[in-house]
Amino acid sequence: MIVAIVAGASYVTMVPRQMPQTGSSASTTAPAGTTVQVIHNNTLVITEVGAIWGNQKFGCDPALDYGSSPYNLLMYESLFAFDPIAFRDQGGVYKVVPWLAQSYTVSPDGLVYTINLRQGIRFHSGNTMTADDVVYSLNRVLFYDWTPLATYTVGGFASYSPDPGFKSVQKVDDYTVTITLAGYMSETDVTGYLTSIITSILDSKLVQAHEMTIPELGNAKDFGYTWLNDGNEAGSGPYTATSIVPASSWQVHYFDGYWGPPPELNLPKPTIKNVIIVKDNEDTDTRLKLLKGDIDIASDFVGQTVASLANDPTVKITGGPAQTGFHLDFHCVYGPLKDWRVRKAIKMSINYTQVVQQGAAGQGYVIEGIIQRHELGWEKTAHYFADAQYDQANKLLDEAGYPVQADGFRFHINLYIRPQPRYGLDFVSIGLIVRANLQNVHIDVAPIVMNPSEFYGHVYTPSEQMMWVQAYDDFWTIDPLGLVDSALGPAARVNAEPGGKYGWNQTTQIPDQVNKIDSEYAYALSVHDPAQRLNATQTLDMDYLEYGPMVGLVQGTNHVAYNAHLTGVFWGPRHIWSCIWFIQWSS
Amino acid sequence: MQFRYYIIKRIFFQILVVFGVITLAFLVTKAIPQDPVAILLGPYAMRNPNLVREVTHTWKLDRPLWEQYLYYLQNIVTGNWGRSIYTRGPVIEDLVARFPATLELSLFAFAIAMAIAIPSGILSAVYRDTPLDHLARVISIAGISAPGFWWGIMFLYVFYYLLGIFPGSGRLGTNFVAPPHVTGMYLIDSVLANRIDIFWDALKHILLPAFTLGIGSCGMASRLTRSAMLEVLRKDYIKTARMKGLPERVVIIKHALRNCLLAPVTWMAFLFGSMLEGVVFIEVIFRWDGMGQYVVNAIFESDYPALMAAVLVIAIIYSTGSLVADLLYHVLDPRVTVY
Repeated sequence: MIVAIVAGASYVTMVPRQMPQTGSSASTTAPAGTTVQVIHNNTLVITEVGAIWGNQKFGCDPALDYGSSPYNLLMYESLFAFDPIAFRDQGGVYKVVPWLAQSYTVSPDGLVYTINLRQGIRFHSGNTMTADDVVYSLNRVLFYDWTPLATYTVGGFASYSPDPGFKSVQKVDDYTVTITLAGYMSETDVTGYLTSIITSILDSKLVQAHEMTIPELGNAKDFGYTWLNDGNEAGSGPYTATSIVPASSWQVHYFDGYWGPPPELNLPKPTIKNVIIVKDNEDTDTRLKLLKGDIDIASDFVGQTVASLANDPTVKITGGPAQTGFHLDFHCVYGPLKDWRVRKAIKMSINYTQVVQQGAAGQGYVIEGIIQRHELGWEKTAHYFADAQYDQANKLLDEAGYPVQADGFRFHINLYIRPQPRYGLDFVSIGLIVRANLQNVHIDVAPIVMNPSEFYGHVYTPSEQMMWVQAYDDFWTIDPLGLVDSALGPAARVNAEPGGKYGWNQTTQIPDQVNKIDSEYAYALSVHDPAQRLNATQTLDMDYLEYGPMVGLVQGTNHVAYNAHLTGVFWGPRHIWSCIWFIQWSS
Repeated sequence: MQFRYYIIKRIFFQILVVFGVITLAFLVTKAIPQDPVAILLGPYAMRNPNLVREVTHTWKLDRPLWEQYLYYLQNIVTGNWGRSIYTRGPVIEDLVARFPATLELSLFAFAIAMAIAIPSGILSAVYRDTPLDHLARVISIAGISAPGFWWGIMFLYVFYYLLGIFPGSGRLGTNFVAPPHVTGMYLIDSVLANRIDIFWDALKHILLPAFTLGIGSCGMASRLTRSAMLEVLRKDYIKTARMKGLPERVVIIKHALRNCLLAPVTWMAFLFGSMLEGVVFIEVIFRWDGMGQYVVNAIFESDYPALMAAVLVIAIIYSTGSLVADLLYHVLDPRVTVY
């Protein structure tokens, strides 16, 4: 009876969505030159399905709570940013523009960047941004790596610090800082890194007032992480926190005192007053809410869900290549995979189109090299290996000395995969496709599904003969060498024993190839001319693809499904930030 | 006096049971071939041998097993249940934050299940082999047969998406924030905060997941009640009551009901504990931030402190349920002496 009464009353009293009951409301005026017909309560409800939620308490530390970066982008800003107009009008092109920085100069040797800051920028707390805030914010990123605090952060993973890229950050005067590099990096790489959410500028006075020490980590200073992770923010961005419950929901509202955007860009101010980001772990529930109109924008559906929404007139879908996807990695120390011909044969045997069509339900792109679609230099490695070259692969395996045995297989090998979908891609189905493909060259692959922590235990044991499907993501790189650096550079040479990425330098056959690739890498790092640098990176990428310990399988699609009444929504690599300047409700 | 002594004795044995469960959980986690330091530190921090040594020593993982066990027991007793590897926060805080949501949902589901199951079981028995009995039987079997997550998706699709009668997933609508925390149960906290609008919204949100969680239990409880009632209705004292001319309603409620509840009550006391298990799927489907999701994620991420704390909590709930069931016997039928 209670259920019936409540149901009846619910049906009668269901009201349209209202603004949140707490928090201040902000008034905005429609930007000049735009047509505004009906503003739908000025509240946008967004969800991102799955991977980033769960137990993880992604809070408001932009340097460490990387999982909440889509939302922190609304509250924090960096010295540089990607031009939203270029995203919108040029198909997602990364064009770096000064944002909190006014201008900058580079020393002749390319190692010192002098950055002049904009004046009059206020944080949400009311404090004014100065060079002290920049120095503190960038230094806390540098400090996080290698300190005990690394263990304290979510995932035990400190940051994407470009160590040894950035050597120091220093104050010159109240509105000038210098960034000194440890070694040459291209200007696009440096400024591109400084667009990252990780290098956001925090209100240092506010954060320092909430610093604490962590007894179980030897009383290491936390640089305000505990306070920020708990849902407190210290940004200067267009939105400020209304109510943040980490790992559950984020509610932000437009900051009345917002300084920006930079006047020279002629960007409109956001017209959306409130943004609510809700957690959802499950495609079905999110899909129903989107169709019902209770969610306005949803992302990270699996491919099958995106395909099923394509024909619904109440929903629109947009998307583009994400800087995320899967590749197949090999240990190179022992066994068949030590031989580059075996690795190449495996790479030749994969049906990449099938991986995308079936493993990603068509929601992805074939990728083989380190340089991804949409990155400078991608074209040369766009489709290096043709699909399913079984005859050539079989011949190569025979040459390598692995004939087919009595059981019908040349050798047996484990393939480790993780269970849950990620970036709209499904580890398990992609792993099974690889397995099926390799049966055509008489390689018996045993797929083994395990949780991430156990998975990485095997990954970092290069003496184990195995392959694994690895998810990758890069959040900011626009310089191809930066991307290559992340795959080959010091940070990628993990604690494999013997040294090098997965024992790569122990590989047999054409031993000079390792030295050749190492020297190509060193050359690409040092050359300053952009054209030569690009050429060097492409050469390096193709050699690494040919002989190296990995091959790309699929690059994901950043797909976004949204309410058809919204205008101004477009795909952009910076999630909702890219289009928050343009989003409006039509009638 | 004897009754009091019995309760004290039962509480003592309950502590022993919980102690046994903790010990078993400890041994099982030690048997799993994973390095808890590697899980805590992650791949990057593991490159620092000093850090590895420091953390290993802090957690006493370099001590003999028996010493680790005593250290663990000492922490349990003093309220230090460890820090979650995944959330980085104290496990107790994580559980305190999440358990009320699960408790609220389970209590509501339990109440709905019993409110439906017992009357339907009684009516099925009283009107045996009538269309009402057949209908109740079909509903009971459907509730038992289909998995809970399927019911959840179906209910969302029908009642939320197609009919629009109930709101979608979550504990509250997007236009509300949680009431000030007192118990963590929104229905109670909203009343305490005098926010009837939040209460009403929370009530609308809890009904579908509670019904989904309760429907399987409802079917079983209804069948048990029906069987027990049929047996009681065959007793001589029931025939006597009827021959005395008592109204049928009085015969059923005053004479038969209490005697038929013994078997269902036994099962229902354990039912509440088992609801805490079944709530996992429901919490995922209905985006309910409770303990079920926390436990599942802890399993996937090998978050040992969180897992062991959750095991402890569930063990306490189950053993308490058993004690309550025994005490209820005595209340329902004073002739039954459990001591």
